[in-house]
Amino acid sequence: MADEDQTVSPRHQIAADARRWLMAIYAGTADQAGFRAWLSASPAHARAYRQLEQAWRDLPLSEALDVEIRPKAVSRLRWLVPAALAASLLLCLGLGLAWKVSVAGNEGVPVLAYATEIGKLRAVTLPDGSTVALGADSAMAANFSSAARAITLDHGRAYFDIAHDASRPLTVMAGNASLHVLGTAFEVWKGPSGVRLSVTRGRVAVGVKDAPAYAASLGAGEQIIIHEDGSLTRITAFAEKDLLAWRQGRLVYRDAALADVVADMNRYRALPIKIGDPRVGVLRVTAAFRADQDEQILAGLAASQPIRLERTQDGVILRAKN
Amino acid sequence: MRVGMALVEESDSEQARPDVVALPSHAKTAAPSAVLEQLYRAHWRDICRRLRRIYGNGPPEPEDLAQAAFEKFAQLEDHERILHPRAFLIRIATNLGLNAIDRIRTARRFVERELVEACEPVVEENTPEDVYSIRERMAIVEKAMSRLTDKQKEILVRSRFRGETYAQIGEETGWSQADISRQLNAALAVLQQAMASGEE
Repeated sequence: MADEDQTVSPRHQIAADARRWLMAIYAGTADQAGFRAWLSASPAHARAYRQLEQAWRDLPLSEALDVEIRPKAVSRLRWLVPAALAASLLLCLGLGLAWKVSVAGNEGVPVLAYATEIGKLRAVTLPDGSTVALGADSAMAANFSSAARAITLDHGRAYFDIAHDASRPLTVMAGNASLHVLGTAFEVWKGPSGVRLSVTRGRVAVGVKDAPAYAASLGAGEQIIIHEDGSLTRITAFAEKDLLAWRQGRLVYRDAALADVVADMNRYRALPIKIGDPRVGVLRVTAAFRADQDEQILAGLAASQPIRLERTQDGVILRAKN
Repeated sequence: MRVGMALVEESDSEQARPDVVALPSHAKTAAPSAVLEQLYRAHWRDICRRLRRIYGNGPPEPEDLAQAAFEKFAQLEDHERILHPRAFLIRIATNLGLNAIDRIRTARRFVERELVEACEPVVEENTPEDVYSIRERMAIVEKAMSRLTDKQKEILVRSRFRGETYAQIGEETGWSQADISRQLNAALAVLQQAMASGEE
């Protein structure tokens, strides 16, 4: 699919190819194998096509795309509209029937538990409308009453987008940390270094178990780690795009402890990686990779760090090179 | 009752947040229908008007599509948190219409599968991720639309919303298929530019 213009830059060429593929696909004339080959030929191809497809799908979101189309003389399209659904809606609106009758009453609300398997992510909507993106191999429980909202992150990581409710503050418990919010968005990650909080919207107050006062308060763009012994790191800035890349199946680290990186990698693989020497766990790593590229990353680590891989039946052990 | 407030622009200020979440939770079963009724009153006529501009008198009949869209919207788990219900309703309605066309339905599924394989999935519609990122994406298409000619907009509407082929568009408008293809290509280029500047 070459463009007519021979002088275009590679980036423009990729953009032009993406347009032609989209037009061919929706016209029903695309060579599917050819498209697959083009898509897999380069990440830049896949990215360019995804962006265009996304915008194409998003077109109905536009208010400005409100043009009048002259009526057709004869229709040649078949349309199916679920008339029964439509009728049932009218009934509900007209009679004011309840929608979610299965929702349980307030007091004695059972604790809701959510968990993900290795390599799987999950989107959760809580009873108050808050949403949680639960990372791989993670588990949390929610206990909401009329007076308070409590969530416990048992292990793994989760990105919370909490619905504002001044009358019902929300607390996330993770390890020895308690995080107090009204309406805000933030990520909590629990790993070898402790509990890490990264705030993307609003404010979060940080408490440490048994301490009478809040230990810190973070705003958007700020990050802190609460260690197991109750000590806190300085508040630092973080790149949201990198931090939340896991939601797109990528893991991104800047100067991170290898122990933390390995803990995350293990959330995507059946045979765990173990750290066989404390000197290995504290090595600092900067890396970005797809979660399923763990084997390549292991090979890269062995090549660039003072470590060697020992493969056993139960997984991989990282040992220090002597 | 101010439940309709839940649907206006997001804000950090306390009063802009809905009463819905402050209701005692035994009332929660009834709250969603109240929200919907509010939504229905606020948007029904406007949604029907917009659909009528796209589809004329049908088929599909704009009112039927709108009904089905409200029904589907009501089933979304987090519909109370959707800040731009109109955009969702229009998108649901037009997608329902397109689902009746085999060529489009097949193309959409094919693309979704291939992009997942390529690790570049499109945002799945009506998921929390979709709700979360929609404002940013609305801004991108809005920016692109402001740079299109009326002819390009009509071709976009005919092909993206009505699922018409170039031959069908040509028959109705008198434009040549080569011209339609060129115009659509140019409109897509404008979309790409808007996305590129939006993501940087």
